[in-house]
Amino acid sequence: MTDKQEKTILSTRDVRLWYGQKEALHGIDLDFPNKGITALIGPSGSGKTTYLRALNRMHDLEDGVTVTGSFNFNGTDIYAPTTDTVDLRKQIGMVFQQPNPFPFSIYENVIFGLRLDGVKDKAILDEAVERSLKQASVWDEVKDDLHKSALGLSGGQQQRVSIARVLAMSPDLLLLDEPTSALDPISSRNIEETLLKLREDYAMIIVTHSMSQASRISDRTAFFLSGDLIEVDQTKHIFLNPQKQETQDYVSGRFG
Amino acid sequence: MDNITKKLMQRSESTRKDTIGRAISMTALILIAIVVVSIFVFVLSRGLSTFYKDGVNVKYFLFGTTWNPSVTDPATKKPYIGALPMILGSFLVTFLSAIVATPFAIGTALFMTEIAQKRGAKIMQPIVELLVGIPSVVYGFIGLTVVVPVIRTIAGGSGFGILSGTIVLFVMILPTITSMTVDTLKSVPRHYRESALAIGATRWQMIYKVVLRAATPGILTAIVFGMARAFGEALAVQMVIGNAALMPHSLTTPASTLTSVLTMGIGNTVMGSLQNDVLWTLAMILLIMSLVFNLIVRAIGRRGAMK
Repeated sequence: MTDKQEKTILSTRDVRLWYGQKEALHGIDLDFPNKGITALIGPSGSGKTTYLRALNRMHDLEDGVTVTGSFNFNGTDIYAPTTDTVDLRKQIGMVFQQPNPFPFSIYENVIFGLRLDGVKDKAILDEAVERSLKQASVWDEVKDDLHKSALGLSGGQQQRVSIARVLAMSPDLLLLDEPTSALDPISSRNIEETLLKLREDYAMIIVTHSMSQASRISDRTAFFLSGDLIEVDQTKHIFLNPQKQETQDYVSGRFG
Repeated sequence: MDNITKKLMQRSESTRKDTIGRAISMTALILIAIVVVSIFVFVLSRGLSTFYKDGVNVKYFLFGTTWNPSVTDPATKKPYIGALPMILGSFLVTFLSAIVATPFAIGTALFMTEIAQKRGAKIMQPIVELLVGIPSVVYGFIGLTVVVPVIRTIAGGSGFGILSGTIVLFVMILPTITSMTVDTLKSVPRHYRESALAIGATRWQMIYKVVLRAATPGILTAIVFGMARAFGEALAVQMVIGNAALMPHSLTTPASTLTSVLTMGIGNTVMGSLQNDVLWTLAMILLIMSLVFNLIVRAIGRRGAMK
């Protein structure tokens, strides 16, 4: 924490995770500021996605996964038995690798979460749709087709609608699991520009396979290797002046 | 160079095998097509002869309410061959059993796919498969010895009727609808579930608002398949419905379906007589209905695919 970052939104200590008997994360300590983008990089199987999914308890859906460690999110313990995962996931939104709008209209997709909360007021819903789609920089492209199926959009548009769907919930933290790896370069760039705009208002954690993407959009970068956190620092330090040999080797493309 | 040209101009061994393979599968296909077409031609020619050979009015046949082909109506000098009682009976048992079976089937399927996947796969799957495999005469026999007496005790009368038929058919089509619904639910992409939960849906909201909605075309298809099975089922229904070709006024009085009248009557009539021809007409209606069910399934599939 060398920078002027004011507040920590999420702080994890000694995070360990087992798939059955196999330990996949070996004690991760990481803090995230309440603004800006943190990139998690590392080769396949390094545990970065596993770690990300632990942050909003997506592992609850799988059998045989054990998570230990402390997760302090705005003062609440994510894994406390009393924590309501439904509320938690409203505050910690997640965008997946595959663009995954539901087979409904764009409008219904964006307000899906609000509908779950029982919001019925048309004015509020309309406002949320416009605001979220604008934040996700896809408003201009879809504003005339709001009631058409979201599955008719291009992959990049679908992914931005998926982002808008999460933003409509006004989450405090946004988790992005390789959001551009299934997209073509132009769509990827659109998503990156969207994320750069959101950086002012949201805390985001992005898992990415692309080191150039991490260097373009993230403020801080954490390097994972084989279930260990090797190094975390400001992005420019990680890429230009890493402290660890493994990081140096990875970012210079010597393996991975 | 010449050698290569020569080789290329000749049919190779693999091409020859390819041709043989294609010929075999084409033969099989043509054979099946011939069988299907001949069934249609045969049933249609027999079934239609009621109308053009025996001169029966189509409207009279479809909407007449008295069925007694061996007795002549003194007014029209034609046998009583109003098929409406059986047509109604068939549709009633079909729709009623589908209405009763659908909630149970969806509930069971949801339990197997969403709530207890492991137990679902271990216990429920074999049970459902077993139910599919039980011969219909067994269902009918159980209906005759268990369902009919129970209805008789509760509702009075003989116990035979549409209600007994519905109950037996409900058990028979339940596994069909269930297993097809399970397949549909399993084919709903996992990421729909994950992203619904990641937005803060409860498990029930996820099932109700995303999974079931995405699976609706498939579930409708399952129901129609179940209905097709109910509509065509003969033996089990025949054993419990009472086989009285009367207009169904009550669920617990004896009635009949197209299939039950067919199986009861086909052995007792002379080929080529009007009494025999009208049975073929009933068979024709059955055939057309199964075609309609098929078309409905296809239409649902196409509409589902468009989404």
